[in-house]
Amino acid sequence: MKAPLLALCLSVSTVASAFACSQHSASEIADAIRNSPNTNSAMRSTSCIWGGAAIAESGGNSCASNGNNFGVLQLTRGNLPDGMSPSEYMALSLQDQVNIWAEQTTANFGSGYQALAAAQAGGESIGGVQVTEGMLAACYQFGPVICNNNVSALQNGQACGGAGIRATGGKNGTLANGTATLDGNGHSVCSWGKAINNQIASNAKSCEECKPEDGNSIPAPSPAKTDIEVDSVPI
Amino acid sequence: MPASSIFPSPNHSNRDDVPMKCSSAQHYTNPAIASPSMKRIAVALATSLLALTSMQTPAWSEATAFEPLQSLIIGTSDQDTELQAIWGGTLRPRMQTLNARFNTARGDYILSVKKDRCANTGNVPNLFACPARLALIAAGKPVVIQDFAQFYFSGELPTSTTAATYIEQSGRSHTRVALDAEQGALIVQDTNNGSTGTETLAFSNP
Repeated sequence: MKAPLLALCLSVSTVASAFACSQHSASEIADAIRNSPNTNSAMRSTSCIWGGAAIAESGGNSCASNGNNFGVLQLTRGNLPDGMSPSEYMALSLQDQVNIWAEQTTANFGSGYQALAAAQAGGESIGGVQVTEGMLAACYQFGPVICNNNVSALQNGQACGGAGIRATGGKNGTLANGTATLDGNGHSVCSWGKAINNQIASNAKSCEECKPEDGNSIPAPSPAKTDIEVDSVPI
Repeated sequence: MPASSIFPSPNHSNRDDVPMKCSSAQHYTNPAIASPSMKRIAVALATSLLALTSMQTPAWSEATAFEPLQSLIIGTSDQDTELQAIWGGTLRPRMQTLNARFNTARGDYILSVKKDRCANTGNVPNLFACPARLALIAAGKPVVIQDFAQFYFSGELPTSTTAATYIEQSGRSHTRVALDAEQGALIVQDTNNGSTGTETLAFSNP
């Protein structure tokens, strides 16, 4: 009986090591943001925002997934590294997950994000709504279409979710035609921002972040890498 | 551009007679999609779309040569000289690209989508917004026609390093494209979660 038992233990151990999930606090995730070579100084200076966002998104579980997004910061499937499966990504260490997330998600810096970041840094509101750190993170996580539309709605004195158009796919979908104001779960950057803000607040005591050395608190996208100058248009 | 202008006239009975056609022998295309049964489905689908989208279209029309975005095998995109030329040599080893190729009198048009630094898509499953480039290869030299910062497409991408190609696993999420070189039109037919829509993107020839 010992041999089968040993084999069973070994196989369980093998599976466990291949899909090693780990649980992380907001503070640990913020540390990983600050220690990543792929984050800029502004993002490092707001690392606790992302720590809170990660708890709201994944509970801090490295194996969290809804089938389309993966890991502590819910990297979308389209941004998985070359040749890496979701399982392989989720088995990475926290630092490796954060490094990849920071490198691959720069397309989420849009005009809406910049507007929110500028308002948040100045303690200002948009359309009477106080811009929060959570809204910034939600904006980034939803992508530019929803965020830009939410900011436009606020600027026009409307509710954050505008006409309440949920994100759908396809060429007749609301993301491709640019009208989506809510994510697939029905959240706007304001409503999901509240959830993130709650996590930021509840982890504030244990999360310390560096202050920007250059005074710039707006995370900026990395320069585009291209050697051919052509017009670039979102569709 | 009127929808009717992207389709051949009704007296074209053979797909090979279509002025703009996809060279199915090329490795960017999926032979399974070019099967007779799939052609019939494509004809029926396109005919239905015509009826819905334009009052000026004929009662019957042959399908435009829609082709699926076909993933180049992971690990070889960087070794494909044409793709590397299109992307200015920036394709990394194992980088995944999804491509469609169209052989025309002007040369070969290639739409290439790069799964790299895609924008988030608001928790919509199987939907991607990634950088894409339309290029024309004439006399062996690629010319960039148009870049799309966020090209929306749907699909069930490979989930492991052994899944070599972009497969329409369930048929509920996939993207096909057609191209009219003379009209300067890229027609994108995208199906996400079973819902299909078509968009025409205009481009200028060099």
